[in-house]
Amino acid sequence: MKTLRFIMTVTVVGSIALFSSSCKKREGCTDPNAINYDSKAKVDDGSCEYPTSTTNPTTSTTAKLTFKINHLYNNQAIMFDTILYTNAAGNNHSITRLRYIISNIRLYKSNGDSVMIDGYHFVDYKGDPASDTYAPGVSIPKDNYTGIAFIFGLDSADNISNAYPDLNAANWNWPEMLGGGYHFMQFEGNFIDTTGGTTGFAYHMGTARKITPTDTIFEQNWFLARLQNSSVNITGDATVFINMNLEQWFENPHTWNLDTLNNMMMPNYAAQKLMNDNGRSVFTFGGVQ
Amino acid sequence: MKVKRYIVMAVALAITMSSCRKEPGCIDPNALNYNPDAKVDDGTCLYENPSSTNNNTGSGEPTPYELQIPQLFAQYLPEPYIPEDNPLTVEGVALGKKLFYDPILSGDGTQSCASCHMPDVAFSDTAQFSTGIDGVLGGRNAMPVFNMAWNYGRKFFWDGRALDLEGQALGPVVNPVEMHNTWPNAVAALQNHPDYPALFKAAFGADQIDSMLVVKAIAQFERTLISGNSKFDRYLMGIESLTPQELNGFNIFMDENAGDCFHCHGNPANPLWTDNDFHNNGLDSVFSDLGLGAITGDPNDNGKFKTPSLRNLSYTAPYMHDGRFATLDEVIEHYSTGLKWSPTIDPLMKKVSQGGVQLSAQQKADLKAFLLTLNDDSFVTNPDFRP
Repeated sequence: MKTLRFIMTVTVVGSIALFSSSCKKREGCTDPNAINYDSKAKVDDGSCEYPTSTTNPTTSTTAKLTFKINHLYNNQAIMFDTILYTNAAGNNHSITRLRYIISNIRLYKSNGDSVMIDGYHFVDYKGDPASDTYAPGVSIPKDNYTGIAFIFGLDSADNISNAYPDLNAANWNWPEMLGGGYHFMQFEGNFIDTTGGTTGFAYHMGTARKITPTDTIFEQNWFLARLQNSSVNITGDATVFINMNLEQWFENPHTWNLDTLNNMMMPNYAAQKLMNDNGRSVFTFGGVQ
Repeated sequence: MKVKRYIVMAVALAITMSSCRKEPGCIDPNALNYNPDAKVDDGTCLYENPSSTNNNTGSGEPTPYELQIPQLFAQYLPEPYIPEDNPLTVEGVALGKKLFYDPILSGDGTQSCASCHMPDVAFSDTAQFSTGIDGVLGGRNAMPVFNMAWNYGRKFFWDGRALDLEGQALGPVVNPVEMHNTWPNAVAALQNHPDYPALFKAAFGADQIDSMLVVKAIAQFERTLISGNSKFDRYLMGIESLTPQELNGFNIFMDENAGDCFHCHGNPANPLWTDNDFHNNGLDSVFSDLGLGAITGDPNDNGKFKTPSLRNLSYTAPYMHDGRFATLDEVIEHYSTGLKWSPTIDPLMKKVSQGGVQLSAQQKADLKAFLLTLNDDSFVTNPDFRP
């Protein structure tokens, strides 16, 4: 009897020990509201973690901007293919194609610093009307900004030949013989010429090639488009409207006559500089919402 | 007393065991319902039933097929477009090739796709217009077929009326001046064929053939027709050099003051050598063929046709949508002195009143020499593209 009792005791105690070690109640975070809630845990071990407050929108310090470009001619939204427009030189013309690229939008602060949204945006307004909207998806600090500007074209750091597959596929390359990189703009249409007939124009802008008796120089031809009176107080996500006033490409400061300047503008150094001068008044601030 | 003690101990043991026995479940990591906490297999493991997924029974999934993308394409261009509902597979490509060369798709069993899209000539036709099964001529020159997966706009034919390669292949089979069949007839012929049902099963898991599967297979084959091995490609990769004449011709191509061909026909960073867009290049002042305008209904699109690629020009004559130019010399002459004004002529067609860009005899010869460097002889002899 004693032996039996001994065996039973050992068996019971041993079994309890065995089952206990391989099957103790699972410990973990037992709060369903926690990030690391463990539904199988039976015993809370104090390891529960909770989300921090930076995801709370009312305490976020940044916002995302969308930029919408309104394409205007004398303050009217443009229409393609019909000879509707008269420029400062008196040329009656249509618009058949409008493609261009902007980059590195900046928002300036009163202390002179600026926040830059890195990247380019390519617009093909006829082929892809939705390209008038640029949503970089970049967060910028909420702040009272004194003005907005952006690069028309690509600056020397970005205007790298063949570097962007989407622009290569769009046939946007600027010939190496003219400095390489990419076009900045293709603004095309038809105008009534001095014979009363119709002639095409191709106002193409990019790097300006200057040929001197001794040298060939490729000049950067991008410019900073500064939006006048574009102070904005960014308190949350917003849409910034930019007006592209296309008649300005033909005036201010230079009156551009399509009779003399209509085609083969790309290798025309003087024409490229006129474009750069005129371009600075093309973009104006259309408000923020 | 002793009995009570043993009973207590037994009950205690039983309680311990019941509240903490080893968790049963499926303990096989390969099973669908594998339970990592289970300690004891309870026979509940479930596995994917091969006969119940994707309609595939027995033969399993088709084998993925990876396109061989030329180096310059990979370097300069976005990825080729492959629709999500028609991924490339070995079985699909093989089936598509078999269909491409099979006259079974035509109304009288005499004509296949390859009858008018011949591999020797970059899948174009040497005739100005192709002849259908009834001996009737079509109205447009058969387009070559290469690098189709890089047509990101996905509009096909000279007038862009078909969306996607799959959409394009639906047309010729039923066109009265081409294969003049009906899809129900074509599908029935395939279904009754000793070999096709098994091939469609292997490629798509389908027990029933339909027109969409036929064009999907053909499109898969067509996507494999890639041409990127011309002399000019090898020059860009630093493997081969160009002659001075060819280099001069390339400059004329790229110079807005000379040929200005690049605005529509590409440049070294666009190895497609086309913008895949639609332009009126001054062929006519009065249109017999409205081109894109007939499809969009917009008169501003009248007379506009798809820019063809400049690859393989030695093989793809005659040229233009109606094959009106038998030689490259005639094409170059057109742009030099032959332009005809119409309201929709592209503004880039300059000096129309003088007929065009007015190249000298030397410039024309040099330009032609450059254009010939875009020929890819390996494309027209590639055995993978033939039955």
